[in-house]
Amino acid sequence: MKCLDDLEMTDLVSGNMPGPESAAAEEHLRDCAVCRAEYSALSTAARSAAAAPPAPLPEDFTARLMTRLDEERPAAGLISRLLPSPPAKKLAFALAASMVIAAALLQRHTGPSLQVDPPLILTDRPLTFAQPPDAGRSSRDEELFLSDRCLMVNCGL
Amino acid sequence: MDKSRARSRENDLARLAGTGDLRAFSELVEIFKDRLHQFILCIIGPDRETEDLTQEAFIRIYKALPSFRGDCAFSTWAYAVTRNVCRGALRKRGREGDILEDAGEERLARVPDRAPLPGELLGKRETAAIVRAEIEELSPIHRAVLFLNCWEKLSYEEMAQALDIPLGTVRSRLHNALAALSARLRKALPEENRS
Repeated sequence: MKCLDDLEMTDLVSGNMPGPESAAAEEHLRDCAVCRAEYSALSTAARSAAAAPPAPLPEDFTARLMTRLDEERPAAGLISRLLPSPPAKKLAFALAASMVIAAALLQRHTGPSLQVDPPLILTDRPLTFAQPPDAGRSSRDEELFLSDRCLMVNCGL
Repeated sequence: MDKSRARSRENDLARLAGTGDLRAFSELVEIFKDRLHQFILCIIGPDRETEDLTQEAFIRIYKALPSFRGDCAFSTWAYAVTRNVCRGALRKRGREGDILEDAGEERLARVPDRAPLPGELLGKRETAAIVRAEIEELSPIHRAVLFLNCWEKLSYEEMAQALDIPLGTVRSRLHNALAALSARLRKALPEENRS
């Protein structure tokens, strides 16, 4: 085998030379002092670079980064502060959903009927029951309507 | 944990973090913070802002994670994102182009002419400090290829992807970087202390 060129030498040193070629190159190194010296110099440099670990960041780096990320997502940040772990979030969601369903069922069976009784209207005239809001509206536009029930959405309050 | 299992774990964490799982992302940050910071140091050089840039890189990574398809190692993808953060920072300083381009290799021939330290055996810590100082004297592209190849053990293909340079260029730059560091270490370290 002829002497290794720069790129082949780099492939060998960095472990990027395929197996059969690598074996042939190593055999050549045993016989060629020039290539052996070059290989030794580059390997030493590679090992030295591999032995120099990254300079460490401060220990609180991750905490500060996560705080910054959390602040950049305000709504999600609030949730994660209140419910730090995914299982807790799932449990809370399930509980909230159950409560909403239970409240809806309870209201259906025990709550006030969605059909509103004719509201009690207090006017400057004698006490009377009003017509449903739409009926006869034009004739009552100028009256003062005061009611003990919600006329807007018939919520029963 | 061997390299392939570690990479598989990192890719799993990246997929989880891509769905908004901050706990998984926090774990990724712990794994990669020093490595990305070192990569930024390689490209930018010692600078007060490297820690801020590392934060910036992680935020960019977090926002881009939903687009990470997992068809390469997360580390390669993260280095590519970080490289772009460095490019942006250098562009702001009007230094873009001198960093990962050919001009960055100009310091190759400039090896200080000084005698090695006396033949006494240095401690490991002292040797490491000298090696680090000599690496810092290399050009940004040489520092980057040495870090990615020697410390991160990335393949040529992965380095080409991370640095956005052709594969042939990776090979030649790695050779030049090893030759430059070798020349510096020959000058700076007694022979007994060279690894």
